[in-house]
Amino acid sequence: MHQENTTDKIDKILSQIEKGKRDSEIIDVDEKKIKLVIFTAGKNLYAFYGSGIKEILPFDKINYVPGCPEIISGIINVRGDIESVIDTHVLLGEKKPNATERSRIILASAGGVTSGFFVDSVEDVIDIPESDIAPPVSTIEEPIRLFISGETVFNGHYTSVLDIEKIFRTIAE
Amino acid sequence: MTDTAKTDEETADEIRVLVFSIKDTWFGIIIDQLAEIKDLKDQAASGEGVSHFHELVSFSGPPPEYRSPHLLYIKGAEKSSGIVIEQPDSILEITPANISPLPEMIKRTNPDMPAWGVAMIDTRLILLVDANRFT
Repeated sequence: MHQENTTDKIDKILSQIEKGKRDSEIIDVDEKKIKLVIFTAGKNLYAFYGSGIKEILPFDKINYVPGCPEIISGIINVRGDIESVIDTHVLLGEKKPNATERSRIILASAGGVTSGFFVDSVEDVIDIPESDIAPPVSTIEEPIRLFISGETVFNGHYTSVLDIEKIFRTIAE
Repeated sequence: MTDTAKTDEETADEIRVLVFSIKDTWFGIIIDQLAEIKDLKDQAASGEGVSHFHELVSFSGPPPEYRSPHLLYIKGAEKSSGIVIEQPDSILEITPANISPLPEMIKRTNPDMPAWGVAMIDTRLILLVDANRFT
């Protein structure tokens, strides 16, 4: 009798553990995570969706191409592939600094187009719940408003999440 | 197949390119597109029908100083018209393996650009320019 009670109890415990495990798995599935690459341009923080990022490169010489608009810094050689580089300072209306040791080129791809983005630093690559990205505030001015897809907070600072495909489309128009 | 024919076949894909630089940017023009190259020495690098290369490719900023100007005559162009470039650096034989097309973003933002590709020679990126676009 006692043995039967103990067996029941063990079964109940195991069942409870199993259920708990299933519940926690369900929560994990519901909590869709988004990868963000956080970077600085001027004094502000921005982010790209990690899904569009191919590589983060150390800053190297950018070769000038005459006739391009100011937003195009030039071209670089990425292990035999020639890629364009977009100046995020011109894109985002930030002050244009000189390149430093912290400067990076973020190589991004979207809508069949690949290009680098010259940024002042890459701060972090993080995974956050999708719900942590809020719609962009309506007070953001054009042209930046055209390619901001959301806002989040990183280390207590507002961070604008940028849509790479919209940037490419806007520049090429 | 003769030895000569074999050699022609092996080198058929290579292009011979005249290389020069302006303001630290390297350019290359296929030799076959050129009729003549003339050292201007002390002669004036101006006159009717003469254009400066930096104007043709829309360089930004102050105009460059041509220390040793040379005049290029393009095949098929009028004899009186020429393009002033800086002293040529070299003539290179470049294989297609060392040439990349222009990045899509450059093509889209600069559709009038006369460059058709980029040659990678050592650490240099050379913008390959179609001289026929100037005629």
